[in-house]
Amino acid sequence: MNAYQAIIARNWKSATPYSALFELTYICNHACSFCYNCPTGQKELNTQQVFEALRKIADFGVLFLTLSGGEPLCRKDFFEIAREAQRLHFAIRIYTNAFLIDEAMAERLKQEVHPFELEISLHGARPETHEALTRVPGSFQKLVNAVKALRQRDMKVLLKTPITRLNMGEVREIRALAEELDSELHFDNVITPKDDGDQEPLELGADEAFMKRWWSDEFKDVREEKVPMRRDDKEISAVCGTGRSGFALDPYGNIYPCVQWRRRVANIMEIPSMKEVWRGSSVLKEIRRVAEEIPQTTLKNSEVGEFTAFCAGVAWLQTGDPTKMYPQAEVLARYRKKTYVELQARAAAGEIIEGLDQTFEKCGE
Amino acid sequence: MTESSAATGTPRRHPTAGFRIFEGQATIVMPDGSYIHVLNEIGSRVWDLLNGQRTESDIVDLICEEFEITRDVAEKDVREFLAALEANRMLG
Repeated sequence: MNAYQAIIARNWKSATPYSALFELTYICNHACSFCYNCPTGQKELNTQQVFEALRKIADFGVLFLTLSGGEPLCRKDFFEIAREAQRLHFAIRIYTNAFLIDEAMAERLKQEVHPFELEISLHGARPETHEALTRVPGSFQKLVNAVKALRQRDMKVLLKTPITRLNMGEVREIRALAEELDSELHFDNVITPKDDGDQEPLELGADEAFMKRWWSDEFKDVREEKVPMRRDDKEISAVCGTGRSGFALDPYGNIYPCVQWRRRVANIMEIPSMKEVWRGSSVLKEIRRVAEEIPQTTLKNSEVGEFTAFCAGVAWLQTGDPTKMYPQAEVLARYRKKTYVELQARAAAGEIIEGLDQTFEKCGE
Repeated sequence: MTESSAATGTPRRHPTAGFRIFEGQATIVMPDGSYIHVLNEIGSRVWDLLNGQRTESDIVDLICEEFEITRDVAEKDVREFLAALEANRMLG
């Protein structure tokens, strides 16, 4: 364990957060059919309120700050906010669809914001696929141009692709596009319900036949996880970092244990400090208890528990019970395990398989 | 070419560095994103002192006082540490 991993482990144990995701706005210039955001119509925090929230988050010792949305760059005061975040010494990450990033914007981001990473949603390798989801003509080419502009300035880009029925036929092309754009790529196998529990986005998820293929040798050169990994709950007992390693804020200032599990903890404008609410909140105490319980119950009692990337927030949204195994997790784990068992057998027969017996990072780690 | 803060005599942390000092240990993220730096106790204190207002000698004085080490040792440690920060483009 290196020094950084030791800090992470210590922070998890003491539930000391080191990251926060701040949804600055629900305004967006795309109309993605599976977007999970649910704007309420309330007034979003103004510039000074965002500054106050940032100061409270910084005073609490949080290092990693993700500026998200909606589309965060749609805020007219985005650069003011980002500069304040920089002045407070956050390590800044931006989640964006990149639609507004042209050469000039890329240069401003480089010179004024200095993010250590930009995460950009890519929904296909072709305009028609990407734009079938964003529902904005021209958004694919704008994204490609934006990534080129950012990479020309040596800014780190992580492309994120939720696998859907629409793009599952071109995952190999998406990988090739990411390589052409000199960017990292993360495929996400799970489409989540909307924040209000609406399950409609799940209909876009890739089917089980594809998931079976995804974990087979056919896609081992496309997956980041070349060899299926297993969970390791020995060092860190909670299923994920919800309410422990980080938290999320919506554009109205509401604090949640994480972006996925929207149990409201408090409003950051109504509390004197994060420290007070973090230790005293009954919601957070319950969230942490449940997150520690899941590896000992749900996962221990499941045949595929060892191979399950379990999200209590998705379980809660899909089943109403944060401890209940939900279909996507179970299906993915089943095929991850199948491939793992096959590879173990091949290794036992003498084949050299690198990376077997690695464990995967937990969400929030 | 811009002169670094180390060269001007009052070194300071690079203004783009993201960092927190928690329980006396500094974790630093530079915007190139390639490394997360974790400093030991004395390194963390030096990092904290690098505000562009203090000379290297001021910092050595404080380190001697706070960690009860001889001036010779503190001078060598601080000098080497600043050189390492400079080499990693963490001063600005």
